Amino acid sequence: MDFVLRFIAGFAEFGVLLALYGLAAEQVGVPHGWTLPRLAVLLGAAELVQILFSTTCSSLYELPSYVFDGSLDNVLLLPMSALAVLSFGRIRWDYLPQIIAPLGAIVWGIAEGGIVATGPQWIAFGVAIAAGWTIRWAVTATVMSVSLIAVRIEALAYFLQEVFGLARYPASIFPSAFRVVTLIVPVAFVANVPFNVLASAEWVTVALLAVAVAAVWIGIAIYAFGRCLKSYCGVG
Amino acid sequence: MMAKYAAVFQLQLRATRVYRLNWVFSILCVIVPLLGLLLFWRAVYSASPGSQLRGYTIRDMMTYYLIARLVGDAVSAEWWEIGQNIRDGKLHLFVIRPIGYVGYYFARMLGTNVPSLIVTLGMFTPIIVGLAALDMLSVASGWSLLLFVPSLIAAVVLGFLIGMASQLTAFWTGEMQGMESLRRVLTGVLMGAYFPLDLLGPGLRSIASYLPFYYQLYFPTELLIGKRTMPQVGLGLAIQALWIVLLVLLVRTLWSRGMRRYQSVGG
Repeated sequence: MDFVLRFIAGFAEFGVLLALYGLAAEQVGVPHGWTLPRLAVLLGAAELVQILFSTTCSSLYELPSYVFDGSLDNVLLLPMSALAVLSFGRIRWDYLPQIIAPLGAIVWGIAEGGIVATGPQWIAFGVAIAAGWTIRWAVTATVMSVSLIAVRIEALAYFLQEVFGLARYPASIFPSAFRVVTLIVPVAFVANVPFNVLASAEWVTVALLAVAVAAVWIGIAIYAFGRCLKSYCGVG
Repeated sequence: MMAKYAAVFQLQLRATRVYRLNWVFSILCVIVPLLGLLLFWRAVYSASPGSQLRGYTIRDMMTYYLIARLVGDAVSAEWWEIGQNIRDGKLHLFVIRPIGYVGYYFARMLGTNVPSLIVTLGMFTPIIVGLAALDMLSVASGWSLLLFVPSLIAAVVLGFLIGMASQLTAFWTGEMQGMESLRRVLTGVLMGAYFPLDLLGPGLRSIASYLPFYYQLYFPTELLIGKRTMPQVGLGLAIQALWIVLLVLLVRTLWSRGMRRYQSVGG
């Protein structure tokens, strides 16, 4: 029952946002260069990455509490990567069915938006989504590693969620200077880049760029976690 | 007797200040989505300047989201631990104390939300100044501005009571995460957190006006924007007071009946 309610809640929240986009498009307009179907693809891609992240990596948010109550020591004693255990130690399969709604929005948006994507483009889109998920994980792991130094930063996790929530908007709505920020704090790679893989002529370049940025952020996350772990002192 | 709750309020104030960085980030959580929403609606309205969305101009929409975020920050009262305490049998640690459980959490909520609102208002000031400079702000004046204060206070109490009533259902239900998620989405829609309720159309908006969520965020926000006549403001304040009375009765009933069936084992 709890699972069903959570599924309905996720579906409802996504539906509310899509309905709002639809109402705005019908009565006022859409951001320049966009159409409602294309916005649906963007929103679907952002939600897809969010769901994949919530399914696989939500236990990262518990790192501050592990540090606070000392149970991180038990993780560090395991004969495997502590970062991997903290990141993927609890897979929430019950979130996965929620991908139905964003996948539906993407399919509808592609069909109605006049986006003609080839087979390789769809594969590249999958790669870009995976890169977006990887970047999401890496940025979260990097930021949450701060809890090894500064205790009680749970709100930082929520702040990060809100920052990545900006991925549901077209990058073009942000001022030029801020658009650069969305590449450095790679919010743009969560949804805007995968969208461009489907809709842009330079999709190969875009997809390779997404993979490269994901690889860089993996390195940053591993380094940051290791560096912060050196400052950690557990009291068993 | 009030000294106990005042002490809880002060303790929560101090606890908020201990982990300042955590507290600052919790406030930034309000600002980031607001900026996204303002930029999005600016881009939408720029597609057809001068247009309106169910009576909302770009000024109205910008002001609505700004005020709604401020009010939402003031009325938020999410206490997951209440339901958790009930399910885990740790409620006895509170009921043996010489302080009312509901009053204790109300004092705690005030200790968190009051400083948060003050700091959020400070952080919002550049946004408010920027919107005012661009002539993108439409705020009421005169009596509406004054009546916003009691409306906001009533909304804070309403928010607390709704959250408390929801958590107290843990006496009868098991795992609540799904129910809480659905409640959060539904109440968010019904109180106008996602969009102005006028966008629902007159029929659905009328239905929403019969529910307490309407007066938790939408009514005080509309009041401050100046979209309410004085008679409507008076009626709205009276309905807020009525809902507070009804919800107090509901919370007391849930608490007394829940405590009759509550069991806690161990020390």
